[in-house]
Amino acid sequence: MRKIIQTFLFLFVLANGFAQECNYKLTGKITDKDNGEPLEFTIVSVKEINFSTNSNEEGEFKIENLCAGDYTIRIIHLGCADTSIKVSIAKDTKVNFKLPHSLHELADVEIVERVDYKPTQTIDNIKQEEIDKAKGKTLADALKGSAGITTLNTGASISKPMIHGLQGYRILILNNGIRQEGQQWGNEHAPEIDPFMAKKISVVKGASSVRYGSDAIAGAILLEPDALPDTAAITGELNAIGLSNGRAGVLSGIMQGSFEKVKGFAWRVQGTIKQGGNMKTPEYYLKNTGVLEKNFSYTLGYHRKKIGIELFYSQFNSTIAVFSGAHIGNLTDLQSAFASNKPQDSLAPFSYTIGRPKQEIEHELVKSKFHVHTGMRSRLYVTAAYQYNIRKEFDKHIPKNSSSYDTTKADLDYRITSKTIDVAWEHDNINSFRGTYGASYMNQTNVYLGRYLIPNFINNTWGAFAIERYVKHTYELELGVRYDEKYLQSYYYNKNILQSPFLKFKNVSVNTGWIYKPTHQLHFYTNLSKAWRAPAVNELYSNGLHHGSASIEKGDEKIKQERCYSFITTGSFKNKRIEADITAYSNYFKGFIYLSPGTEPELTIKGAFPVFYYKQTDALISGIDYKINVEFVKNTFVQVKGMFLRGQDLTNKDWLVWMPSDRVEVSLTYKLKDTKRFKKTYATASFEYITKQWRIPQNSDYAAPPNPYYLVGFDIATKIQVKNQELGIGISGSNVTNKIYRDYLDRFRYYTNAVGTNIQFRLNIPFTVFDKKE
Amino acid sequence: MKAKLMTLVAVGALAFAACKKDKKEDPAPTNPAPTNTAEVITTMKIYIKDSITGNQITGSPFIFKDADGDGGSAGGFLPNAADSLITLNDTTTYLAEIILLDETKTPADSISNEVVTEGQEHMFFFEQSNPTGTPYTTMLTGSGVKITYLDLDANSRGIGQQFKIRTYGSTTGSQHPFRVTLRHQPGAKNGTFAPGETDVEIKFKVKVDL
Repeated sequence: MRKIIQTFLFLFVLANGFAQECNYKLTGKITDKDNGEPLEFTIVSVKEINFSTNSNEEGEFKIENLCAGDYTIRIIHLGCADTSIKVSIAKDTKVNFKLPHSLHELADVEIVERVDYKPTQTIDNIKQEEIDKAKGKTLADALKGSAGITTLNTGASISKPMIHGLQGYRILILNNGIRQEGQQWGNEHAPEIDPFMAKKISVVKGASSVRYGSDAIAGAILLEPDALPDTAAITGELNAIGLSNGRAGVLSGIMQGSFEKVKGFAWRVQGTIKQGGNMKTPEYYLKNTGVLEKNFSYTLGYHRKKIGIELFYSQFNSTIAVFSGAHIGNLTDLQSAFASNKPQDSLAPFSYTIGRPKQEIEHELVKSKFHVHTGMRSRLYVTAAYQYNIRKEFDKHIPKNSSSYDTTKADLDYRITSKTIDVAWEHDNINSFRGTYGASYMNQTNVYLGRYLIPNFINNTWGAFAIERYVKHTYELELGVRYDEKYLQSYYYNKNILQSPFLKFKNVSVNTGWIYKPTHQLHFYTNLSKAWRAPAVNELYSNGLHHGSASIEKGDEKIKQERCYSFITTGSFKNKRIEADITAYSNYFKGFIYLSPGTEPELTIKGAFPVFYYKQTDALISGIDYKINVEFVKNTFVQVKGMFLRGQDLTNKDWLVWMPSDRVEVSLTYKLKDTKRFKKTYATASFEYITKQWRIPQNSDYAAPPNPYYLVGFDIATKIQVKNQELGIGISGSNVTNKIYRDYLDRFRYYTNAVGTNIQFRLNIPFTVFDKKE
Repeated sequence: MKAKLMTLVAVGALAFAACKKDKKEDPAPTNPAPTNTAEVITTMKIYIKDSITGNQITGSPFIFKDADGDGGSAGGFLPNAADSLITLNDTTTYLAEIILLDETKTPADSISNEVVTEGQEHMFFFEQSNPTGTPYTTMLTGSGVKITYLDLDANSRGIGQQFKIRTYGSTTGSQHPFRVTLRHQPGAKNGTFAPGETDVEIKFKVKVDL
């Protein structure tokens, strides 16, 4: 490979050499603007010839064999914003760069979105095309663009992300910098987030506990909005999306601006409306599967040179109809549902009506974030947030003695209030060390008004952490340590006697990370960490019947904390034509908390129900994810993405339940050359194959896992230049062959086939209301 | 321009429309809701009497009770929690009636009245088999016990809250399963077991003596 490239370069140089004089030199020196120190390991690239080099210890660089002409020189250095300049070369030229290294001279928003402080874990930024393709669907659907991410579904409209087979409390979702606190414990409780709020979605794979909090054993999902504007203009964009399956429509708008006269102030308003009706499988409609969502948010920011403050408010309101065929009376019903190949009495014509059973969810977030520069190269951040979450669930039937029953009252009703405060102080390179120190506190209160499933509780958590990283050009070493304490005071009735158990948990999380960059094209990210998680209330105290799964779940108050020792490494290669990421990981759990089937069914008036107990075991989850994209012919790309995962119960020498099966997706993309009118035009066809999950524990399921299946999809998009705006248009399709299938990780697989073809139409209209420059 | 306008309308409308919530007064966490407020079926009683003498047979009523409904503590038969055996004489006709109660309420709420009132949505099944004929009858497999529905809903379909048991000796002496299931079949009741979902399912046993 290298030889070919060398030959190619040689020929290129030669060819040019004949044409004109090509022996000019560009030299220069790069220094820190603040202290005049030379900056080594700065990347200096010349766009026109696709060449890059590094500055040496003296901050000097040299590029030879340049032809006469105009060049764009790009300077990239960790901790600095990228700088580009135009240089005209007609003789040997020398250029000196002074970089504002500690960033404080740049717009403050740049600091908030600090590009350099990436975790040592693999961080996968979800590509814009993947986000676009999932618009109008769930947040978890957008994340599937990353290898190793699967979803745990409850039908098509409730979807929880899974990182390396782990979900729920083991994943933290940071919504605009705030850890999302809702009712994460439920498998049918999707994250209460409007994906349209986020401009950037990324996934941190592997234990991220030290930085984000002790629960993040499996990783973290980061949702970030765009930086607030800092030029006097009012801009916005409108997204209109239509989905054929469910005949869903989504309208999402965003507007933002800042003021010329009051410098430093900026604002943003954003809102989304979504409505969808009954979804359709290849053969029949699913009764009661619509959704109605109304979300909005406001942001107000103020930035001066050394301080910044941001206020944010958002509200998420969602009503989700739950497929009525999945609400069953008892185990006999479940078995007969599985025996018949389609739902018995839950087929209905298309309708937008949302009937019982249903979920009504509301999530409110208030956040204020403040930062101040504490020196040339350090900043202090203080973030306070308040979250209020209401989750109401309505049973399929109102009781038989309905005269005395208030039908507007939910059968299950939880209200959770979370107040958090986070303080972090970070410093840039000081003798090659860079670090963050912080502390956080959370107070959380949960109350239930309807039927008992989990108790009332007051949860107080605090933690403190320190991370230091030694940064050199070819490698970075990081050590992070965190200490957390959690106090859990619960209240519930057992046989009409009030119980108020109090539990205290504390432990240390450690992460050691190593980034190795032998060349600019090849990087390795390796992490060894110890993480832990306190048991959640449902694992301790839940006791109730789940209508969707015809099982009784029982918590165990003796459950101890879950500890995880994990190793994860990623190799990432990137050149002009190939982009490849391969991750291998192994998570060893002490006291992995899981649901274990009981031996004796429990007798109720509705018949006998299997009982599942929360138990702990030692477990090992290992796997490999890969994503390889090759431009094998000019403008034509092949991408292969997939995963292998093995989840083992070491104590019982068995497999773990609910682990994703191995899968692979191959896609072919053709990108058209940009024209004056059409830009970023591409067409993609994809083929995904999901194997059968036969690695399941004995006696844990009523029905065998579904057969393997494949899905075919496509995506076509372009941007049309209209005046000075780029209008985005796209059409995509999922399951276009209308394949009949059921998925192992879909909780509705007992009752119905998964949904059929879904064609998405999307329109993105950016606009400018006012721009000073125009 | 249209886009701007639509965005303004969308964002503006949401900002005002979506704010309906009922945060009013969340109760203090220290004071959880003590019992289920919604209705539960806690108890099933089957009264069986001799059709000629009118006397309740030995052991009648046969009771299954799950004091806290689904979940919580397990339910059981009374007086012997493990199972309940109904002993019948051969070549005899009995009249039987099913009573369902919600005993979490005081006084106990009779659910069986509601079942009969909403007879078009409910039906009892015996051993899950689809009854045949007019009136509906079901033969319990192998036992020589015949069940005849005595009540009808507005569509002239049996409900099964009241029924007749007739024995004519085939296999006496041995125990046979006698599973009573209440199916809730709103809008779908057609005299068969399949539609709807199960509200109650209790496995009694029947023995026929000479």
